[in-house]
Amino acid sequence: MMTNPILPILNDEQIQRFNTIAKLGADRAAESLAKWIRTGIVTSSVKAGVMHYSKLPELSPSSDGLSTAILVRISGSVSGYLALILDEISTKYILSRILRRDIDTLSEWDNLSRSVMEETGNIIGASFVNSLAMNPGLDIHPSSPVMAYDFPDALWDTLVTQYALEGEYALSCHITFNSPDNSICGIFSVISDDLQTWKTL
Amino acid sequence: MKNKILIVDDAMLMRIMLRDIFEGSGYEVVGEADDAGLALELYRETSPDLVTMDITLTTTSGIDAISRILDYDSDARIIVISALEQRKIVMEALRLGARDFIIKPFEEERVLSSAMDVLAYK
Amino acid sequence: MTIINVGVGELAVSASPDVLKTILGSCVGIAIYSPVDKVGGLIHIMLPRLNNGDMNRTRYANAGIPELVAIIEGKYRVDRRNMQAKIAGGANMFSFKKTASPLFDIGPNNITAVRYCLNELNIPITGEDVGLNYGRRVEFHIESGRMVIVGPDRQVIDR
Repeated sequence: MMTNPILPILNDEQIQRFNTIAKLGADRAAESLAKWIRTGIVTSSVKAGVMHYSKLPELSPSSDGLSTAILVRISGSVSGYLALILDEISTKYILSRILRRDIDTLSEWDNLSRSVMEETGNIIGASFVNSLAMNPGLDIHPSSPVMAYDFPDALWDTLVTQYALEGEYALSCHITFNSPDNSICGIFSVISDDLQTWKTL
Repeated sequence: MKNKILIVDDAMLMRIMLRDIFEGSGYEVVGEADDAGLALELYRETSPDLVTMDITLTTTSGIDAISRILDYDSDARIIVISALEQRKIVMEALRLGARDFIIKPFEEERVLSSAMDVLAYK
Repeated sequence: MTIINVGVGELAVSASPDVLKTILGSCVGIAIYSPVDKVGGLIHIMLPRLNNGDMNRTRYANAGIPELVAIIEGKYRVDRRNMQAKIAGGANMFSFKKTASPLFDIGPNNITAVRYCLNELNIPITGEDVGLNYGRRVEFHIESGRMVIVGPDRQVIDR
């Protein structure tokens, strides 16, 4: 049903460069996450490239459960969004580590729990941005975070609309965090339409 | 007499965490603000001995708040507590007159020792 | 009976007893059907207005909805006077507290554009579950004309 999308405009070398930058950002974000939730090492695996927006939702592990998405807008040299998407188990785990109590259910969200997840998104997002900012010419400002807890597909539905506003493809960087103590299953996406800026790196 | 602290951060969790840290060490938290305007207003009302300041605030920037508070009181003691660690931002905050820059996620001891050091200086 | 999944920015038209499904965040799902002919279609629009030459017209309320109607009229020979609509979605799931963000006005803007379009086409909205702040899993049953909506709290809404 889709008409043929425009071809991506970054070459292989540029994609490679972006992957390198993304990996450094991911490592830094993982380090911050480990400190924040006081666990051992949180490793990250990275996949960066130019994606068609329709492919994005496929990266989330599909499940019947709900997910938390924490969104941060970025502006400056690059504009777009950072989205951290965590499954139910990971959300409960992070809440329990920060609030220092057992979290059985996510049926009721109070302001404090929302603030915990938003601040988690803030810390991970800022760490990633801090790493990017080490590249000359990359001046990036994150906004305050906001979160939603809902069907992963519905969350993606809202996020992919941003792509549609700008075009078919955007730079997308997906980082998965893994903790030895417990499973943190999360996708950290950098959604940006500013392909021109990335080309200059 | 207890030293008075004003906390500026737009995350409720952070305000609670910092309040617990300070009150647990004998400080008095006299106010909490989530934006620059309220921060300045509370600074005027409460005359704190120390201000903790986040950079990413909802409608304004902490840099702006630092500037405004120091314009009002050039002796104000401000410690930045932020997740952002970009050289440009750190330099700007310190250039404007912030006394220290703490990166989130922080250790409790880091916050307390910074507060102690900054309060020892006039 | 076939279950047809309608993706973001797509549409599908079929006949009874098929079921059309989609998942909505800020997007709006519009089911247009004829209870007389037992034919119906579902479109999943992302944005209110096409204004940049995008060839994917079905992403936009103002371009996609008329296209859906044209297919039902043309291919399935349905009289427009028999058409009714049911709508869902257009949520604002991330409530940006004080800052305005273009992305998150989209839900409400989509709803407005959809109502306007359907009004222009003289197609009445006979059921809806739009707005607020939650995602929706939607099934449209062409046979009965029912739109069944499930939110994250697992409550089932029938429209």
